[in-house]
Amino acid sequence: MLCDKSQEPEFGKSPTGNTWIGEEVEKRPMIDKVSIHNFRCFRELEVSNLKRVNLLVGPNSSGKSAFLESLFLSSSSSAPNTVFQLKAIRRMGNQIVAPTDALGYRSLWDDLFYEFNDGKKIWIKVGGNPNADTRSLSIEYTTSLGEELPFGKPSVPARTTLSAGSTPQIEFKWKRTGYPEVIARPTITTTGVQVGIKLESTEVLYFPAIWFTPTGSDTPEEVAKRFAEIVKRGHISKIKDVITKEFPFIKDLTLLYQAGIPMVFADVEGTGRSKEMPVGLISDGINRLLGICLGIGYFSGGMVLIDQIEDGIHHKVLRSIWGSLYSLAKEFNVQLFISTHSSECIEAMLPTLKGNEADFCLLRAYRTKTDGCTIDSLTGDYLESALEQEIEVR
Amino acid sequence: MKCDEKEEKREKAFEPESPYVIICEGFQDRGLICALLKHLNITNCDVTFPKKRRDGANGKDAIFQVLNAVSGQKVAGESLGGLAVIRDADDDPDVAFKETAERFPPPYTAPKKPFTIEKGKYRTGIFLIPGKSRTGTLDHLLLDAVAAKNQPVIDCINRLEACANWRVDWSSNKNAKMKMHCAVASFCKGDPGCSLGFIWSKGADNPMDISSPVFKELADFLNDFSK
Repeated sequence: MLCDKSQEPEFGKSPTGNTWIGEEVEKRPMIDKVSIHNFRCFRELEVSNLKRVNLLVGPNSSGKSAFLESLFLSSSSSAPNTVFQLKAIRRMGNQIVAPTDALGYRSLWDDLFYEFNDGKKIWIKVGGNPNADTRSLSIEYTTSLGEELPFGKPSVPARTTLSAGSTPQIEFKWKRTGYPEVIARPTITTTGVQVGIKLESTEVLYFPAIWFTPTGSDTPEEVAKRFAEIVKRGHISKIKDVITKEFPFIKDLTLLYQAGIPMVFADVEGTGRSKEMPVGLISDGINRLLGICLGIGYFSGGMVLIDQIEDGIHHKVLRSIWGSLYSLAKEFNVQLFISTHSSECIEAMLPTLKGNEADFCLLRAYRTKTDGCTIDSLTGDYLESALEQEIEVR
Repeated sequence: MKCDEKEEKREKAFEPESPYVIICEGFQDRGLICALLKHLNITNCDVTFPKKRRDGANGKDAIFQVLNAVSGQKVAGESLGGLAVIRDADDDPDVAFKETAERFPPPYTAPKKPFTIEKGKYRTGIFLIPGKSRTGTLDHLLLDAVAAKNQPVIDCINRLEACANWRVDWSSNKNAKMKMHCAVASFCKGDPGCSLGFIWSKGADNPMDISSPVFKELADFLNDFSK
């Protein structure tokens, strides 16, 4: 799971204090187009006709994760911080060595650029529908700032002396409909081996979005926080209904403390125990599903990205889970982007897809011979035909 | 060309490996088409057919569903170079052609007439079995092939048909199917109940020759589609 917890806005509120949850959110149209330029494996990409549920498939190294990254990175003005979270997800380490020269600085960011070409600007535009809550992010080097950065660890002499004016400076510009543009120019400072990023802007703006990755996991406190907020909002029964329907041996969910840490407990039938058990102890898969459901409820009106949804989920409940996630997504006006490699998981989607084709989209990623990766957008009708007739869609 | 046993039984999802895809009605049609492709040494076509009938829908809707699904497939990152439908003419070839042509999904442009290949950016074609100016089904075409190889077998089956006169109300299509099953049963010693989908691998037990002139129209269509 990935979201910038440290700077999450108050639940149910936009950064400017407007209510997210309520009629306004219910009416807000979803985005239906994403345009990407010079980002990761995408030289140029435009994906249209996005829907409520967007199923993302494709071989390894076809750009699925990069596409989810583009959506997530463009969902907040704190993209420079998010870049380092993405590195951790990509198993590129969760620490960086402070750069000692301009080359080192550029290497912190160059993997964001298509073919590492940081001479060209990155832009990601998420929108399409003129009434949608659109976002755009651009990333490029600026040359006119002349700002001196505190490069280098104190114990390691700098290999290059950087003078004012020769320092590279990357700049992230983020814009969301109805909000002022936020410009972030990250600087690197050393605090031991940890590196802090300072943003020029004091205000961090967000579009509600969360990313569930196969490698990440929620802390119990994060799950508890979302659970509590959804309780306050009066919607927790919708989440409980999903979990108790999918796993009938779970009779109820509640928020309790275990060794001083708040976490979600389940009333489990047949354990012979007189007290309830933390969900994490019952099953990793159930815990992940609970996290996803709470994510949908918490990030109402936003976007939930789920990488490899089948992880930890038994095949017998996949069909039902598709139905539950779709219902929750509609209920909370959330747009889902879900990737999978599993044919079993995709086939299990068919009963939910039937009759709701207009709410579904198949995004098929693949690598081209000369222009990096691309993604085809195919309709829910197409997906239904292919699944019914067992035509490979992955 | 994808004509392996596993694919014949459709034990796995269909994924084209060749740039040209032929969609037919079923496993038995696929047997003939694959046998012809091998005979003609055509290696750039895959053949597939509906896995499932659609409840409550027109019997042909499953073909159109496959046509739609296959149209979105790619081979080595490229859209398919062509799509052809080979189906029964049934009782009205004009209706059969029209309802099929209407279902070609973009960017594939339907052919203007049956039995010919539309050669634009993408090749398309519709072949109506048993052939030009005829009504009927696969069984009619195969019976012609049996007759071409061994007319006495057909004469015997016709006598059987006369004996079984309580079944004279069978439709032409069902009558042809009955005769074809009789022909296979009388010829295929190793497996009298052999499916028409497998008959082409039965050698001397096959009552038909793949090189029979009765398959010339279909062979010409396949040659044109693949080149």
